Amino acid sequence: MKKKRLGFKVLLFIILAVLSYSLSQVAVKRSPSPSSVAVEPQSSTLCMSCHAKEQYAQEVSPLSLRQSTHQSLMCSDCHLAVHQKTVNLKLDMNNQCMSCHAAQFQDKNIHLDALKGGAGALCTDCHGAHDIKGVNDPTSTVYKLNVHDTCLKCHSGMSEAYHYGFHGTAVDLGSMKAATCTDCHGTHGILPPTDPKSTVAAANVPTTCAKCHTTPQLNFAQGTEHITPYDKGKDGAFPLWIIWKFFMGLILFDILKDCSIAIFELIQKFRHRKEKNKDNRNTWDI
Amino acid sequence: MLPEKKQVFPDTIERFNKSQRIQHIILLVSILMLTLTGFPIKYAQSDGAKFIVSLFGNFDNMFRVHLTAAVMMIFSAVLHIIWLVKMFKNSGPKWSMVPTFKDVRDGYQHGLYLLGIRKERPQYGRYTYLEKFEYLAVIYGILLMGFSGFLLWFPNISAIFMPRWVIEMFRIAHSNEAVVCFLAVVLGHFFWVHFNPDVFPSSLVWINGKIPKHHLKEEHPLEYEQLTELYEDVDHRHEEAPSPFARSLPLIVIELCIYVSLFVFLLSVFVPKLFA
Repeated sequence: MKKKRLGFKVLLFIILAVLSYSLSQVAVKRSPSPSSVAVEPQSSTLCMSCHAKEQYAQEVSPLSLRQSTHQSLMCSDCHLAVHQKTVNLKLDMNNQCMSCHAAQFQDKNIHLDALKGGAGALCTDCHGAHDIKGVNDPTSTVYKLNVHDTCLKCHSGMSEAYHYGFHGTAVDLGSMKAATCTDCHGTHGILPPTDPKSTVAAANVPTTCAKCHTTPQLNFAQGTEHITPYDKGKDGAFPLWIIWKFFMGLILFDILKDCSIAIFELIQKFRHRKEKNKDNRNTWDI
Repeated sequence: MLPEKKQVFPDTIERFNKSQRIQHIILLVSILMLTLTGFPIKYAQSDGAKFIVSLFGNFDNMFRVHLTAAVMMIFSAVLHIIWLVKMFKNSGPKWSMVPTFKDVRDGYQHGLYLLGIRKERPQYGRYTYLEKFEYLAVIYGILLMGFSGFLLWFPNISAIFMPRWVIEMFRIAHSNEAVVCFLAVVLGHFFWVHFNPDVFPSSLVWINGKIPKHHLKEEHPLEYEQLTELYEDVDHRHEEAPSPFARSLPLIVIELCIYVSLFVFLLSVFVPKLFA
């Protein structure tokens, strides 16, 4: 009997072990189950023992963590509510950022409407998460030469017009002087142009331009921004469109005049080639 | 009283004097640099643009070269005006560059000649109708590129006089007039002074200022006739032979192919843009 009971116990233990292991695997794959991992505040190695595995590598690569500006932080410094299913991680994360970077939350910022469930962007949308870098790091998503790509992820409609303008062109070619999105629109205090406090509200545009262009000319506000000659239907595009068409006409006139003269000259040279040979004894023919 | 006739008609005639050649070289270098540093700005998304920027180290250096070359271009224009005033003072006004009704007729007759309807070329004077047109085009080009360029260079000054959308119009004008100038130089000007088999690979007038007698006789017969009156002996013994390429069949055929394919390519690029 004793032997039988022992065998039963061993079998039960094995079954339970296999079951709990496979359940834990399923749980990890679906979503982290609450309190399945006891977090020691001082240790990131415990987290990484699972999260550095290949299947999570896209989320947390040990390399990107080590290169990020937060390399000295513990996982738990940001992930306080570890593995709690009920928390909206992205929203919650904003509060975690605030605990250190409070100054960046002082101004009213249209992007933070996302906290109230509206459209917007949260810290990690622009700055990245585990691979977060300082603003002066050339590989950072918010580096002067990269930040427009970050903004254009959502504001894709601006892409063509931004790259068409001289500011965008110069930034594309590596100029650190020319204005990029944030130079005019601000960073942590971005407001829509309809808000009178916005840096790009019509009344404030001259002052915003004067950050670089020395004098706040009222004329700086006289014209539509982010527009190309190709946006025929849009407000304010017509004068640009008509100039563009005029020069396309001039270019075509150039091509028609110069190419056809050259082509027909060459044809005449070809035709009169032999006649000339008769007249001129001094033949240098090749 | 007629001036005393000179002895022998020389093999080469001075067409452009030193001052004119210097003006041309300054304009040439400036336009070359402006094109090289300007097109990367127009076509910033291309790989070529990034390559040219890398040649200058960074964008700001390249842009500085662009501005310097622009000042150089304006300088060549100023030099030309000074030279014109001096010349007018010294030897009286010369109006050989001013278009006349004859130029309209020359253009019409040249057209007929090109189509094979007329057998002879029109009789050109010192400047052909195309050269006069090119001169006017250069004046227009320098005025437009210079003016719009300065507006863009100093936006806080230009904004005193005009709203931003007008400055933006000038930017589009600047950017597209650049293509007009470039095509006029490469397709038009380069044909007559480089690719024209008579002078291939290059006319030397821009370097030594001298045009061969036979070329003058062919291209500017009226000027040649005027000059012959100054000399006793016109039929000179050592007439310079025409360029070895003048009647070269391979050259003519290759150039025809290049020009026809360029023509088709450029039309296919710009016609849709006009009607887009």
